[in-house]
Amino acid sequence: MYGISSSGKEAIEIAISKMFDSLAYKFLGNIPKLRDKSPFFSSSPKFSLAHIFIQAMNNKEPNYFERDVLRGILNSSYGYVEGLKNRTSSNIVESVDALVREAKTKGESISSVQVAEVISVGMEKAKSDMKLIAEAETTKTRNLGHAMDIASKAEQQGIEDPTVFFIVVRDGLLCSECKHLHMLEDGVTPRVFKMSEVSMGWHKRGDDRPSACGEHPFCRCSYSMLSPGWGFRAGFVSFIGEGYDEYKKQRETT
Amino acid sequence: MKNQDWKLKYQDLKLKFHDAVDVSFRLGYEAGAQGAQLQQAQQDQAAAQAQAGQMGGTGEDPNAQMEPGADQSDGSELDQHIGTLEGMLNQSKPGSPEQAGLKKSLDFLFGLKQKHELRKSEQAIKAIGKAMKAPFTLGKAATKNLSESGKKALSMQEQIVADLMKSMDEEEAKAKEAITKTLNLEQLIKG
Repeated sequence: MYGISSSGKEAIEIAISKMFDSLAYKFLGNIPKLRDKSPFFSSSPKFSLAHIFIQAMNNKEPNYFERDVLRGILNSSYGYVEGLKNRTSSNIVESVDALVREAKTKGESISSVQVAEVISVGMEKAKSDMKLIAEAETTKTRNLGHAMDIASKAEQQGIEDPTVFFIVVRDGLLCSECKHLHMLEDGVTPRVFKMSEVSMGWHKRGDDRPSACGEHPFCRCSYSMLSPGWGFRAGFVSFIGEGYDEYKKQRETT
Repeated sequence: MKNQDWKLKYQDLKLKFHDAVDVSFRLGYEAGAQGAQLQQAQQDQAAAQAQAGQMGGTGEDPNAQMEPGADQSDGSELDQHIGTLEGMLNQSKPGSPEQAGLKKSLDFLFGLKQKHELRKSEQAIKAIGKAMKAPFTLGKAATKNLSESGKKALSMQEQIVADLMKSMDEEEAKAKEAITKTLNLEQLIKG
């Protein structure tokens, strides 16, 4: 039994493809891979991953290496959106086609309500995945922007392996994983690490190494550098004294 | 903007909650009605056995078997009483003092039911409010330790995700329209 024609399927794929390309453009900004598809994009996105990266780098002009890091981030994010686009497109085409075939078998026609329902089911999953991608990628981009800023500051100060810590947002939403990884047992003092100790990949729950990409999607902890001589007083970054090493102090006491 | 979204989400959850309460209430009512029927049947059976002198020495209280059914919600119990009173009211003589008395009792029970439902809803809304995502705020320590640039980046992150999801809803509507048009062109949709 025939379902939707191949040209009909193609038209559905194009509709879904347009939707995801538009979302990718809004999310990532005008990246080369999207530029070719730009005729239907009339305005520039207000904020995109590129903006967040530059903002996290203290709003400075990125150098060649930093541009390359940003390019890599945008490409990998685009890859996730593309993957989701292909998956959603296949799912929706298959579901609508199945609906048409079933109706034809019974000698009936489908209604626009049935079509809308089938699309909504496919889109619900896509929405939840898109949110996950957006949250994970914005977290990663922001913290990698901070990491670039830290690396540049450390280079200026002649520090090979800077001491870093994560600034948590102390509210009811702070998760136990972030609290455990980023705070000492007193629950007030941030835990410090050497930059070389921080993982640059996705964090696995239970791992005792924090990740520069964030500990989970929409992690609000911010990666920061602690200069020599500086430490914490009641959880706040304060100058303690010349030669003071917070990292050494924390490692000796724990 | 963020507040509006939060409100919408809250209202959406509130509606869902009300739907859930309605369903639970109906299920509770049905379970209560079934329990009552069962209880009535057992009481009738016990009475018939007693009349026939066949109670024997088992010492079983037929009502004791209904213990699991006793945990019906107050709402369904109240509904049963309301149902009984309504039945009696319909059977009573119009304008008689008996009907006036029954009507008064019924009004009182309706008032009780309303109060009970309001109290339950209030408690549930409080719980939902607690469980809901709190509005995005920067903690005191974060405000102090985080640079201005870091704060902006964090707010930007929140905004990007919110804007993207809003755009997705709009784009979804466009995609649905395009797909429906395609199926219309293929003459697959009726009407």
